[in-house]
Amino acid sequence: MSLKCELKSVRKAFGAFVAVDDVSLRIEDGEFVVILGPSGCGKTTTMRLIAGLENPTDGSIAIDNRIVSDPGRGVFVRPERRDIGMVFQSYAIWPHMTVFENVAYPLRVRRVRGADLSRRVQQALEVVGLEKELKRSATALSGGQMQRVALARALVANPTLLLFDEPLSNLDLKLREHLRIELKELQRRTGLTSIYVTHDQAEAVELADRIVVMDAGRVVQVGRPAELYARPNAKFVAEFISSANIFEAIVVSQQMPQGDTELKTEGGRAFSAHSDEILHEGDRVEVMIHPEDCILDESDGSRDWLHVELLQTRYQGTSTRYTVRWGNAPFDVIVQGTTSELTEGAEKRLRVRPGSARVIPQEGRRP
Amino acid sequence: MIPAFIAGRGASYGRFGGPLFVALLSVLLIVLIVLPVGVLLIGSFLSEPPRALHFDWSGLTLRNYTNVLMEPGFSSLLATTVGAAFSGTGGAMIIGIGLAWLAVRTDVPGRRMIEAVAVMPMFVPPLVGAFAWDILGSPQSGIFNILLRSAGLPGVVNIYSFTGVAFVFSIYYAPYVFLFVASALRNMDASLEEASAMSGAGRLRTIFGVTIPLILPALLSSGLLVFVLLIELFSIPAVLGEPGGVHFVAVKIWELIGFAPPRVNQASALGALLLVVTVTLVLIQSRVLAQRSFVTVAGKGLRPKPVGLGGARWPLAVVGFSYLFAAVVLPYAALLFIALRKSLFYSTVSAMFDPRQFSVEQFVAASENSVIKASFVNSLLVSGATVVIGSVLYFAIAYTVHRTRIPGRKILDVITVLPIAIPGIIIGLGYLWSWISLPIGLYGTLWIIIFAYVSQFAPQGVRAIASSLMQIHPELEESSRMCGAGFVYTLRRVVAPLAWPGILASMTLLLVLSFRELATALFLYTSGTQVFSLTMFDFWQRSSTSTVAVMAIVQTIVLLAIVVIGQRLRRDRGASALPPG
Repeated sequence: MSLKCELKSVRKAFGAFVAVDDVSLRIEDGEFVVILGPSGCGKTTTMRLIAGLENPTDGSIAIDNRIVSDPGRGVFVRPERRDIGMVFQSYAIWPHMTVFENVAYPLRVRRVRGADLSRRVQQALEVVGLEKELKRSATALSGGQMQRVALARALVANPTLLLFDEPLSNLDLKLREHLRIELKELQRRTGLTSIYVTHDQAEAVELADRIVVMDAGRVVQVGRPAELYARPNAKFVAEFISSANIFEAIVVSQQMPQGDTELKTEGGRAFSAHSDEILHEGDRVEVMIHPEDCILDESDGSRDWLHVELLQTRYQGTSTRYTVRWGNAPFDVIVQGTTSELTEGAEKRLRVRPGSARVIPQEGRRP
Repeated sequence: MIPAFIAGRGASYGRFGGPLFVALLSVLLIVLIVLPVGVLLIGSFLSEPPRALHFDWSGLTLRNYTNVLMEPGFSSLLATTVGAAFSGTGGAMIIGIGLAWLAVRTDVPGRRMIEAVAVMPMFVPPLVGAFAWDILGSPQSGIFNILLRSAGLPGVVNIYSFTGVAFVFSIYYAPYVFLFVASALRNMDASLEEASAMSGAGRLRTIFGVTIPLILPALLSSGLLVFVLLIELFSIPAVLGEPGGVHFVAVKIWELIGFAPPRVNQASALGALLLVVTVTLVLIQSRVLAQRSFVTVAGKGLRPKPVGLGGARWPLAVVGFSYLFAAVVLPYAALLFIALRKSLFYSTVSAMFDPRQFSVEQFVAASENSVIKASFVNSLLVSGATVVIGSVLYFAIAYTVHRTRIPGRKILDVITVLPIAIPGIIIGLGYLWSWISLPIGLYGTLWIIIFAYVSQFAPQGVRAIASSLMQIHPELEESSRMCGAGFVYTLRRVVAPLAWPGILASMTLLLVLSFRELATALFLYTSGTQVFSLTMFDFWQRSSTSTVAVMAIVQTIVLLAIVVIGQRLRRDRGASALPPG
């Protein structure tokens, strides 16, 4: 695979506020990359820097091995010259034009005329399933339809790169899930390199080949969705991407090179977890256990089951989230299924699946 | 022409191009707005008028100010100006708040009509309103007094008085208060008041504890706005105050220059004092307005249930509509009456309505009068040029300030709002000082009036365009850039069509304001460059009441036509944006 887009030590400051701080990224041809982070983390600014809607303060950006932004060398290619298709959060459908005119716009700018123009607009609208709405006024469309028009407009001129700025955040849940599937399917079909910005981790996990997690203007971790779940390299990633149990523990002993670590907590939990770094007895570390990796049941008397007391039950439709007291502190367990039978205050048995507890690398001594 | 280096919100203007453009606009605005007022301020400290921007610093003195302050009538001049403005503001607020409450919050019959009616007097130029009330209420020949006397009563109405001026102030400035208060009341979330009721507060407690505090910023800022406008107003005091010996600052400035020997430096000192007052008031007003965010009214809640007025419904409706009667119907009836009457001499009711006395002779005569015709054409030219130059300049400013991040753009914003605090008469005086003797030949042409108007109306014009630009989501522009379109193409295909209603509104407003303006042009005309309002004022000074009435009606018809055409164009535009079929 070849390199499509590369950011090298990109920094963007608005006055004293640094929105994007030393971000480096390499995006391969045909990849679907999602930039994920809370609002204000710099993800949208990063995308706008790639689009050319902002000029970086430092660093360089290249698309197809051509430098498009490099303030150090005085290079700045204007957004309209970057050949990028972009879908905006507000859809940015021009209300004074029809659906056809909106989609035809990038082609008209490129001096495509006549039958060729109509054919290509028609094709783009077919891709998004709106070929029958050609003559509708853009203002008469529903949110989902506007989103599709915006997508058709971004695709119609065969851009080298497709950017999505939280495109689904203004839609309701059902439509959002539906469009997510369509979008992924469309990207697979066209093979267009896509960069997608969102604060919704579910969306990111579903869409992305790779996720870039950002916080406070910096990239925290880059990886495949499953990697981020299983091996977050910072507490921030673990917290943001999932609703994992994260708590502090003290190292009792460690077996290297396997990384199996015995730990205990001040509340009296004792268990083993995996660690990628070398730890010493008495080290204080942070441990993550996904609530989905635990089993809650009546006791069968076997040795690895822990005695816990059920504190709270939160029924969530397709699963139930139980909070239990494990070693004097609350601990969450998620049980799949549409039934919820356990009553609060009951004595239960808890089992953490072997290998699912993980020591989170500490800030500053990340491997 | 706006250069192509300005990007949407982004920063893709050139390193020098953007700042250069801002610098150019700033220089233009400084020449148009800051320079004239600066020259006036400097002149107020000199003993000789400046010649061609050359100041004789040896004559530096405070005597102009001491002359103004020591003049025997000064304290009463000040008291009258401030007092009448204060009373006028009070009256305008009583009328405006009352009408707003009736129209928005009660079940008064015809509340929709009251809403429409309450803003109508805004379309009556103050000068025309003053002429009409002169005809209605002058102590000797006023229609009211003739009617009173013919009924055997003493003719006691005297519009040439402090009370008379304050009354006319009130009725023509009430719409400003109405607009502020009505929109505050309308946008207020009903649940705020309902929450007060649910907490156990009675209706009065809710009004004083919740409603009034919430609309207080709107009340205060509209009151201050009207107060500033009235303090600097020239037309109504000149027409209704002077004949009764009630003197006002704006009129005094005009007299200092207009009556021989002209005392320009002293007029400037008085102007500078007036400027201090208006600037202070505008600063206070903007502070009040800045707090408004705390009122910010979501507009999501339901509209409050109208207050049931019970038996008072109809009497209050009559009170509401009688305002329209006093501000619009009666004045235009009087103007029409005078315009159509051959002779102005009548002393009884039966003589007044003698049908043989009515004809369109005056209209014919006016249409044949070369001075009136020339000034009509001049006014059209001035208004047209003001609109064209103004719209381009205001759009460039509004776009640069609100749609780019070019360093220094804030300066444009600051200079543009200055004229809010500068009375028209001061702008006019400043232009007179700055350009009278410069050898570029601006003085004596219509251009000097046009430039003065472009400066004077910059705040309103820029605000109208800016508000329509701000309604366009920046992403609409950015998406055009991402589609491969350059700045100019984006401006033409996306920004201009979307901002068009706002631009049209701004153009309509500019046409109306410049066609009716009097004070700004007072010192800037010569025999060949008289504008319509000035000619009207001239005829009034020469007591040609019939001609004045004819001209007032013509001016109103032109203004109405502008407003109607403007609205029609906007509606057509709006209709085309709707789905076909």
